[in-house]
Formats: sequence, structure tokens, C-alpha cells
Amino acid sequence: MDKRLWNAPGDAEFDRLLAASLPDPPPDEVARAVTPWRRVMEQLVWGLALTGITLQVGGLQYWLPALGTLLCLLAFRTLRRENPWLRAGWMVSAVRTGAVWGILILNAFLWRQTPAGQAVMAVLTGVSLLTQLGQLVCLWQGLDQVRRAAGRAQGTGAGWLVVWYAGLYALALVRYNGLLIPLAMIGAYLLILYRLYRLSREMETTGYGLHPAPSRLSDRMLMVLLALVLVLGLAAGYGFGGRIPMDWQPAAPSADPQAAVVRQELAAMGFPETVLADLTDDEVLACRGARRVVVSERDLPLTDFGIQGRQGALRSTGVAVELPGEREQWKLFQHFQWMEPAPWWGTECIQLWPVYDLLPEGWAEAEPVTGRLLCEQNGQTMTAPYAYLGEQSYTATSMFWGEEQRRDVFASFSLPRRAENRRGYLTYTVQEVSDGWIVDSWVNYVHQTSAFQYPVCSALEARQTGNTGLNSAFALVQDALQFYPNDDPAVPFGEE
Amino acid sequence: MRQEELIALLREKDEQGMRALLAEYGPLMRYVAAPILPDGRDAEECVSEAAMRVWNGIERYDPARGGWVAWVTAVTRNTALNLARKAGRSGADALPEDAPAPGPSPEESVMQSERQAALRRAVAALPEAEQVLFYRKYYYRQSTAQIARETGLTERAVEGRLYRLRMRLRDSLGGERDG
Repeated sequence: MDKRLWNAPGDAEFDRLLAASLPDPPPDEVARAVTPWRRVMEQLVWGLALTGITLQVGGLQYWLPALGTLLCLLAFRTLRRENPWLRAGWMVSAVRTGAVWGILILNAFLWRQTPAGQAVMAVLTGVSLLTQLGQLVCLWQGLDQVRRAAGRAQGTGAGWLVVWYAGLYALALVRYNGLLIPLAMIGAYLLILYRLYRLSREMETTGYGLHPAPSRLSDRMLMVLLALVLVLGLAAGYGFGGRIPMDWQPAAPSADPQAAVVRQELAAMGFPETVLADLTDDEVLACRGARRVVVSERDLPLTDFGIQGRQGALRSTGVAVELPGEREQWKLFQHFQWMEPAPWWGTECIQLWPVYDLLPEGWAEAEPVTGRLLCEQNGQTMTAPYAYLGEQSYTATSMFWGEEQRRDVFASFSLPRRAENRRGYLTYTVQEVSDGWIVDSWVNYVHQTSAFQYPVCSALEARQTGNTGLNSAFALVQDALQFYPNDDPAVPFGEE
Repeated sequence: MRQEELIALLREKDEQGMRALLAEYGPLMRYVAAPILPDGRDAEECVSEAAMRVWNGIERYDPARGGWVAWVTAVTRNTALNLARKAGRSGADALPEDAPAPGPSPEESVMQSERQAALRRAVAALPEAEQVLFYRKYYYRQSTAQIARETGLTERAVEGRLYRLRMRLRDSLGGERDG
């Protein structure tokens, strides 16, 4: 080719040569692509598809609808000058994006589980659902106006989306658990989307009449900005919002001489001194005149529970002290101590199955469950109460028993990231109801092994929902203090 | 109405075909004419005239040589350029109002054919998005502002893309430039 054909000293000259040398009309596909309509309709159809049907796999149920919300926002943004309905759709989409982004970011904060957090989440969810319907009404009416302006008799089908979503919300309200209607609805949804897609193709030439709105911010920049907001929000959540606030204070040393005497007596009876040193004077004095001490101690590496690659090991010590009195009474201590530090400190939880719950025929609660946490920081012993300690009702789902309503004692807390010898205990007192029953007290300790979980939940929530194990960010270890008190000496099961 | 039905009606010189053409392709024709004829009345005149050309020239439409939409836009664009030339004005951005001069010399005709062939190859080698940008700018003569609005970009970003497109075409077509 003769390169001199394209000699052009400047851009204007080169442009002139290009314009004068246009070979042919553009290919049909290119001619069709040069329309404001096609891109917008593709964004809308994809946006609706991604927000309507969710895949419950690997977090896609959160991120695909977020992408869909974003695509709908971009589409309405382009169409906002077209007619009042589409302008309203743009505003509703902006509000919906804000609500969805708020939910996505709050999901990275444990704060969402507090009453205030739950209220904010409820408002954001309500706004998100309402604006979703509003968006569809605006789309329906807006497209209808475009259709009528183009002189087309056939409806757009967008109205059916409103009906579809209303049906979906109704099913959610009545907690429908069947399979048939949801399957039919998925089919109907795909049909509606296909109808919209077909319509967009049929209206391509009509769509040339659209007037996209100019913008100072490109679509790409808007997407980058919104992605940045999301990433920063999530980073803040994972960085600062994934732990339970605790009130750590220097521990007061034991000052009661009577308590010191009882400590010596208990130690002489076999009470482990490391555990004894952690108890308050009041708790020690409550054991004055103890008749017997039964001790069970076990090391619980996280790897013991089929969780390979997880570091950290707990020592669980169960101590039962028989108290003086006419009726048989036992004060039970469930103590834990981290012997090998874990790589990640997020949230922790202890679920207690007290003997009076497991064997109510034999034992009754005499004193409620109390306890505290301890650790060493800069040579100082620090202590904190549990962030939550008490009974909670929840619905447990088990492979064997299905769904059942349960009420258990839970302690919820976070341990410091920079500390040594992290430990704590729970204690309660039971009295005999009828003779001949074993003492059987269980602790289920749930430790958060990783920050990577979404939505972020606490160890307490993980335990209640059964979200512990191999594919979870939580590991569960169990121990029990079990012995037959009528034996003398009483020996913990497994140590006979 | 389906495209094939519309073409059949036009071939049969059925007036329903003309009405359908204006209803279904009127927005497209206005869209193509608007950048070249910014005055709304001129654009309307162009659409009417282009529709008449489609009506009269439907026998020349050959699906084997190109798509229907491309043909309708080509007829409309040429009509708009003719009207703009007649009126001595064009709304195109920094583009020549002169289409190939009437009655070129044999040597100019040969050079023009060679340029067209080279440009056809160069454009065909571009990615689809750049092909669309090329035709928006040089064929439909859309302004930077219009391209920006319709592609969701800022005008500055469009200018950047056009600059890179121009550089790419210069590289593939050759020729000398200043500097």
C-alpha cells in the first residue's frame, strides 16, 4: 500500500482524510450498537436478573444482587431525562443503592447484632425492599411512556415484574416452605426477563429517540467510587467492627485472710492452684468447709476436632467442690486457659449445659451461673466480666433431631489480641433433688479462627446457628465434667 | 411489525409499509440526521426525504450486501449530508463538509479507492468497541458530547479514546505526520 496516501500533517487533516475515505455503511451490528437504548436495556435486564434470582453459593447471594443494583442505577441514570417516571426511577435507584450498600457494609460489623444495629438493619432492609418495588413501578410506567410515544401497541411486560415481586414478598410473609411455587416463580421470572430482552431488541430503532442525560461523572468512575466506598466500609468493619467491646481492668489481689485459709484447704484437697488463683475471694469463701474436690483436666487442641491447620490449644479444667450442709450440694467450676495462642482473636463463646438442665430429675439450680475472664498484659493481671452471660432461647437445627427450640446458658466475649495467658471460668451451684444421679456438666467452647466470614457473626451466633466446623470461621471444642458422687473417692469418668 | 414484513410491504408499494417505516424507523432516522442537521426542521425534512428515498429505492436494497438497519442509516446519512451541503452548513464537529468532490480525476479515483480499501481493512481490525466509536465519529458525525452521553463517559474520556483511535489508525494506515 502506498503510505503516502495517508500523509496528513495534523489531526484535523487526518480526520478529513478519514471522513472522505469512509468505505461502506457500517456493518449492521455496529449500526445497531450505535444507540443509547441497547446498552441501557442490557444494563436493566442484567440488573433485574441479578437482583431477582440469588445463588446461595460462596457469598454470591450478596455480591451478585449488589452488582444488579449498580447496573439498574446506571441504567436509570442514563434514562433520567427521558420522562418523569424514569427520572423518579433514577432517584429511587439512588436511594436503593444507598440502602443496599448500607446493608453490605453493616454486615461486616458485629454492631448489627445489637438492638440499635438490628433496628438500623431493619430500616435499611425495609427501604431496600420498598425501593425495589418502587423501581419496578417506575420502570413499568417509564417504559410504557416510551412505548406509547413510539406508537407501539404491545405492552412492555415490566408490569408483571411488579406482580412477581409482590407475590415473592407475600410468600416470604407467610413463610412458604414448598418447592412448587418457587420453581414456578423462577420460570415466570425468566420469562418476564426474556420478554424484556426481546422488547429491547424490537425497540432498538425506537430507542434512538431516547435522550441520555449528560453527566460529569462517567459510569466507570461512578462504579469505581461506589466500589471504593464498599471496600472502605468492609475494611473498617473487618478492622474495627469484628470484636466485642470488653471492659478490661487490673485485677484486685486477694486481700481477705479468711479466703487465703480456704484457698490453702482447697489446694490441699487437690483443687488445681492455677484455677484457684483465678477465683475471687467470695467464690473461694463460698467453698468453706468443703468435703470433697473432684477435678477433671483435659487439653483440647483445635486440631483434635478434625480441623487440620488450625492452631491453638485450650486446657479445660472442671472442678466440683462438695459443700457442707444437710442436702448434698456441689459448686462446679468450668475453667479454660489458652495454652497455645491462636493466630486470630475475634469473638469467643461458651455454651454451658449445666447439670440441672441435663439431669433435672437429680439436680436443681442452687446458685446461678457467674464467672469472669483474665489475662496478663505487661506483667499485670487484667480481668473483665463477660460481655454477655445468661440464658438465651434459640432454634437449633440438628441433623438428627431437626429443628428444636432450645434455651441454654451462653457467655459471649472477645479476648485481647495482645496479651498472655488468656483464661476464664464459669461457676454455679447445684443441690441434690434425688439420690443416685451422676454429676454431668458440659462446656462447648467456640473460637473464631479467621476474620474471613461474611456476613460477620459472633461465636455466639455461630454456635446457635450451627455454623461451626470445617468450612466455617469458627471451631468448636467440647469438654464435660462427669462423675458419680456416690463413689468415694469420686473419680471423673475416663480417669478411673 | 417484523423487519421482513416491512420490507415486503415497501417492495409491494403498500402505503402501510411507509407508515410502518416512519413509525418504527423514524426515531433512528432522526437520530442519524440530527448531528448533521442540528436544526429540527431540517432534520424533519431530511427524514421525510430519506423515507421517500427508501420507498423509491427499495429495489436497490440487497440483504446480501448489508443489513437493513445499516442501509436505512446510510440512506438517511447521505440525504442529511446532501441537505447540509445544499444549505452550506454542517453540524459535524471539526469534520469536512465536503464529501468526495464531484467528478474526481481518474488518478484521484484510484487513490480514493485505495484509501477506502485500506481504511476498510484497518477498521475491520479494530475491536468492536473502537469500531463503534469510529463510526459514531466519522460516519454518523456525532459530537463528543453526544458520544459521551450515550456511552456513559465524560467528554474528556471520549476525547482520549478518539485520540488513541486516531493514533492506532495512523499506525496501521501509515503516512507522514507533523513533528
